[in-house]
Amino acid sequence: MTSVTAPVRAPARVPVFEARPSAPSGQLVMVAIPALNEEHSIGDVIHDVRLQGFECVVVDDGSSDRTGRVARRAGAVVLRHLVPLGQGAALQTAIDWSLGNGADVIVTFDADGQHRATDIQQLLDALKRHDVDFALGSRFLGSTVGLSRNRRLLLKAAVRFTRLTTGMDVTDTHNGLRAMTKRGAACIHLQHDSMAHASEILHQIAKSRLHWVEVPVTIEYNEYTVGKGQSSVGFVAILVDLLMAGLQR
Amino acid sequence: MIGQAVLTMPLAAVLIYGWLQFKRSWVGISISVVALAALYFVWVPAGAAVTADTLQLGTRYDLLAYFFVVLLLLVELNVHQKDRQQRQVFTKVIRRMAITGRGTMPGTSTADDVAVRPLELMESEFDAPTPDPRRLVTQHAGVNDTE
Repeated sequence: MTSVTAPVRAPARVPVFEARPSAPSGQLVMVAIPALNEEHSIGDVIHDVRLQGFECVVVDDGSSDRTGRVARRAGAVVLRHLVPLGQGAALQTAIDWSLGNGADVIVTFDADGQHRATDIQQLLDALKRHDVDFALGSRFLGSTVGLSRNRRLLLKAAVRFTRLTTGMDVTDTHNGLRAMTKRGAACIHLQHDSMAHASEILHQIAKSRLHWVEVPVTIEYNEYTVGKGQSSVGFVAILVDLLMAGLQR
Repeated sequence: MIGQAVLTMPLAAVLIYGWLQFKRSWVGISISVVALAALYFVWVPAGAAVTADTLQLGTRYDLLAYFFVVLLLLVELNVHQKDRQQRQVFTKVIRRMAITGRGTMPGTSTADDVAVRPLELMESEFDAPTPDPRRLVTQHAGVNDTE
C-alpha cells in the first residue's frame, strides 16, 4: 500500500502581540500608524510613542522600502498589505486588528513625524473628561509649525465643506491624530482607501450620533512631511472621490 | 433610413446596457433615459429640430451629437463606479490577509519580507477558517496538516 504524505502548509504568521494595559486607567491604548515608504521616520515615531507608554500597530501599506522591518525593530506590531491600498484602508486594517486584540482606545497617528506623541495623552484625557467616544486633534485650536499659506487656505476650505456636509462644527478635518473608544471605533467602516477617509471618518462619526470633542494639538511641517503630504490636486481628487462615492447606491 | 438604422443599433445596445446597470446607481437609469431620448430624435427628426430650436442647441444634428457625448460620459461614469466596487472587494481581501498574518512569506522571520506568493497558495489558505485574534495574540498560528 502506498503511503500518501499530506501536504505541509506553511504556518501563517499572525503578528505577535501580548496585550498589556498602557494607560494609568488600566485601559489598553493602541496607536494605529498607517505607513507607506516611511523607513526614515517610522522608527523615531514609534520610539516617541512607546516612550509615552503606548503600544503601536503599524500597517505597512505595501512599502517598497524597509518600513516594516524598521517598525518591527522599533517594537511595533506590524501588519502588511501585500500591495499599497491607501491610508484609509491601512487605518481600517489597524482599527479592525486593534479591536480584535482587545484595545479599549485606538489612537490614529501619522507615520511621517508631523504629530507629537505627547499629544496622545491629551486626547485620552479629553475622552475621559468629556465622556465622549471620539477626541479629534485640531491644529487650528492648537498650533502648527511651518504651515504654508496655501495649505492653510485649502484646509480651511475643507473645514467649510465638512461643516456643510456633516453638520459637525469642526475646526480641522484632515488631521490624522484622533482617539476613539472601542465603541466609537466599531462605528468606523472606511470605504475610501485614499485620503478621502479623513472626511469619511467625520461623516461616520456624525452618522453614529456618538459624542466627540476637539483637542488642541501641534502639527509640525518640515520638508519631509510636506513632501509626503497631499498636493493641492490631492484635495480636488478627494472631492471627486467623495462625489463618486455619493453617486454609488 | 440606413443612417437611422445604423444609429439605432448602438443606441439600443446602450439602452439595454443602462437598464441592466439600473441596480448599481442612478447612472444606469440616466443612461437608459438619454439613450431613449436619442432614439426618439433619430426616428422623429421633426421633434429633434423643435427640441434643438427650443434649447438653442443649433440643428437637430448638433442635438444628437450632444446626446451622444452625454451618453459616453454617463457610460464612462458607470465604468468608473464598477471599477470602484471591484477595488473595494480587492481591498477587503488584502486587508483580511494582513490581519490574519498572510501578508508575509511563509517561513520568514519578519513581517516585512516581500510577500509575492503563488496565487493558489493564498487561495488555499484563504479557505481556512479565520483564527480568533484573541487566541492568537501570543503565539504563531502554526497549522501543519501532518499532525
